[in-house]
Amino acid sequence: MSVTPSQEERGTRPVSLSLPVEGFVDVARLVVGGAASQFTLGFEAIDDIQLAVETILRAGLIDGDRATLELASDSESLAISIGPIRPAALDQPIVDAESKTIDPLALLRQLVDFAEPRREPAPVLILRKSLAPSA
Amino acid sequence: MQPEHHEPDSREQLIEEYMPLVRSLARRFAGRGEQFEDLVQVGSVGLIKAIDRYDPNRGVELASYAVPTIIGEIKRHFRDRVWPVSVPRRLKENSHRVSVALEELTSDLGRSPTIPELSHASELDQEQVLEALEVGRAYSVRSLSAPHEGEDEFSETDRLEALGSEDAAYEVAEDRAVLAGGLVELDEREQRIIHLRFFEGLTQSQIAVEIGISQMHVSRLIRKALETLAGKIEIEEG
Repeated sequence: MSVTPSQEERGTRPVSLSLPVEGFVDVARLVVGGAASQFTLGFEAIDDIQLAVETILRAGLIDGDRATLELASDSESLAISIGPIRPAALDQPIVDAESKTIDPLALLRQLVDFAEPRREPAPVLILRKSLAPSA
Repeated sequence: MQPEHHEPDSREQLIEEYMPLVRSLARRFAGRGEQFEDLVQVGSVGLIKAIDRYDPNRGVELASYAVPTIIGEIKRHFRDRVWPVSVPRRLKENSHRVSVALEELTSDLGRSPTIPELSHASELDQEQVLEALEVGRAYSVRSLSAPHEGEDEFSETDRLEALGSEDAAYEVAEDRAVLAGGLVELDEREQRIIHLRFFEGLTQSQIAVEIGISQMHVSRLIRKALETLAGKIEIEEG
């Protein structure tokens, strides 16, 4: 008798994590990796999701010293909400120390299938990765 | 195989000619926790050193001269590859098993394997696989991505990159240069990988084939590069 929940059952079990940004990026990666591994995602897809989350946390996009991650899924994709995002981080351009443009959303969109800010009810970044088997 | 000289135009030819020797020597060190292709690449650095230093007037065959240099380079690679924290042998072994399974399954399936597939192939449970992948990420990438202390090895990195690779054109068009500002902070190897991943859209496994290193190593280098880039982002409050 298998006690492993089906993919559909896992989709009804959202995961929520609140943690300090400083010093807890590795913890966030572990949780995201563990949750993502419950689906039919390949190693690269899981690694990309983890990289996206790590980059958001490391790039100073979080407003304040704590971040909240929420992972949920439907039959098509795994969605991750990360916030609160600094309002200024949602406006382009974001600049680096030498005033040369870096666009984190462009970077994130190479790692996941969807990366968009959502301003209401609270500013968060929504990442979405397709659960379809990758090539 | 008795080369008479090593003029610049024959250097590439000599490298190609002696690569089977490098592969043979690298094979001796396989199964010690490093990917075979990574060892070949490190050994090829030793070969290039030997070719550049070789003096045919001494009456020694290049093969005889190159062997200790290639072995020395591979041994130094092992010495320099350090774990940043003390990692139990069991975890190192699991990391190696998963890394091997990852490469084999990616090749066999033509796609990135899932965690259950890695679990089955490596005969580890899924949590152990996740643990092993995490341990693999902690592995130092210093010896292949940065110069060694006290030695002028920057040129070696150039040579490493030059092997089997196309000329890298990192000066991307302005409208695509969303990351270009931060790229100058990366070493050449990282720049190339970031370029391939984020500008050319190649997957990790495709980059691994392109560069000639393991997929796990590509993952480590991308993570390291993104950490550097993330540190460069400053947000102007309105």
